[in-house]
Amino acid sequence: MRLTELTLKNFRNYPRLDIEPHPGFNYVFGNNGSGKTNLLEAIYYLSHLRSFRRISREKMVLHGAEGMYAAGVFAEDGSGRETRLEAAVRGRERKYKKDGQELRGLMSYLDSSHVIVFFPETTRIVKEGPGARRRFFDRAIAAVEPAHIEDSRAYAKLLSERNRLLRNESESAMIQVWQQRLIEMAARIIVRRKRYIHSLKNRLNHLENLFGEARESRVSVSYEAGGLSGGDEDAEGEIREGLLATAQSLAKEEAVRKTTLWGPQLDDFHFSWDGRRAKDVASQGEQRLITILLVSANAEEYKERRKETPVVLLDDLGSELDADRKKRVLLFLGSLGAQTFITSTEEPRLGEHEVEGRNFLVRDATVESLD
Amino acid sequence: MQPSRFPAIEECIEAFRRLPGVGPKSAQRIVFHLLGKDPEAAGKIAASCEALHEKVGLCDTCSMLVEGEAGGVDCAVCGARDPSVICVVEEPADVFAVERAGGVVGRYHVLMGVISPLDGVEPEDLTIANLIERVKNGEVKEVILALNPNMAGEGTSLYLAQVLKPLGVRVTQLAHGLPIGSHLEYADEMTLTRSLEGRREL
Repeated sequence: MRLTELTLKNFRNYPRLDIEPHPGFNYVFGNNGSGKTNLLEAIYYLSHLRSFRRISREKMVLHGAEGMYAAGVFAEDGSGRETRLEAAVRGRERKYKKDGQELRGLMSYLDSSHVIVFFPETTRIVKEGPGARRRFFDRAIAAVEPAHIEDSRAYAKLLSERNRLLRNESESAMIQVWQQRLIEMAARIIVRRKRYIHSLKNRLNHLENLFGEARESRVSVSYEAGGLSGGDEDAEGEIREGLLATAQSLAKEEAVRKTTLWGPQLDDFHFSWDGRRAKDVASQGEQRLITILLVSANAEEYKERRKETPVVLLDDLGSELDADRKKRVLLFLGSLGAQTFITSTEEPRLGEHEVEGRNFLVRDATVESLD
Repeated sequence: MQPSRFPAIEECIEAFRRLPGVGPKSAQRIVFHLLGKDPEAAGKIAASCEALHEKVGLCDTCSMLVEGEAGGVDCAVCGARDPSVICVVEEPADVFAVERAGGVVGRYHVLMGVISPLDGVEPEDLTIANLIERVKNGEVKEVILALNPNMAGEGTSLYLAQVLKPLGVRVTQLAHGLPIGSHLEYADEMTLTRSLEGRREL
């Protein structure tokens, strides 16, 4: 899909902005602090209704303004069918519209576009704790299987209910029933994660060749559902049995610690580099490479499953990767057919881009199209 | 703000606004209607509202609403029904819904809510102990669970099955499926999944 129009009012440093992005490649350049990342953030916000930065929503409103507004049109790849999304924030009030209709539930809004982002902080998925990795993959899975969102929400609720029951030392019949329900939902989540990572593994190897020198594959990703005896069970029934056995063996400890000690909320994803833990052995540059490989693999997976390309945002890729790698990444996204936005402090050089596109100069809270 | 010149009117509007489904504009319309076009209605409404709590109580056995003698007798709905079947619902209003649909052969049991640990509602806060007593004492052969098809209703149903089955009764649950007269393409994923699971041979 492609973003064909974008309008912003009082978003971050932009009092008012209207741009028509190129369907292929969009090169956004300007000085530090001019608002390049804000522009990418607006596109991400319009699609996902939250920021990719770790900042409060209130800060997305232009300083001194009462509210903000973002609107855009996403066009489908094949049919060209257009969907207009609008999101407005005013104080505590929020309004979301799809094709002019105000929406109560967000599922239909969120499912009508998909934006994938790579920005310097994305490498946290390699460096930091398991929470960042779970969020990264659960979002990618939810994009290709929307039921994952509802299941994750249901799981989170059942989990806090069960923890409450454990704290209250409720009767065992209650704890049993909540355990059974939790196991059922956990198995659905674990199966999706397993299948997704399985599919991603092959893509990673192929992309690694594409992005680097054709050598042996160095990157690998795996997912092990904690408490499940290894093996490659990916049938829901077997996972349920495994979880039940784990739950039974932990029952006594749970009664003491008064919290659930098993389940996908505790699982981790592992990245390895040359067969060892990436966090320990991969250099900064290699960690960035792993991250961009994963982001690209997610983009490819989305296209494969949804028969539609995601919009890809690359913030400051130039300072994150060397010129040759950067070129290969852009070539790949071009071959995927994904509309791409990339920010840089450098002016575009003639003939630098291998793919057709448009240049945008960002300064003084305006964005100027140069062609 | 100036002190109001119509405190009685405003108090009445405020009272109607607290009712479910009544907004400020509807409340105002109702009050002006009572004032102008239908002065007698006000008295009738006030009297019947006041009588509600005097005349209506809860059945000691099933917690359904009863009018008249409430003490110890089975309520008007259940009285003559088959005592071997109990249909469990969340609220008294659900009994009216089931009755409109033709009713069940058996009697009712109203839980007065559903289990929801995060809202502090656990089995002891509902009429579950009464239900267990009924099953233990009576000639009950089947308990039909007719709770709302959402997470809280599902959890409550599973819990009831867990505690009732060991007492030797058959525990059944209403079918989950597509609404009659609807379209398959508009059905949500969950409903379709459950409908597939609950398919039956023709």
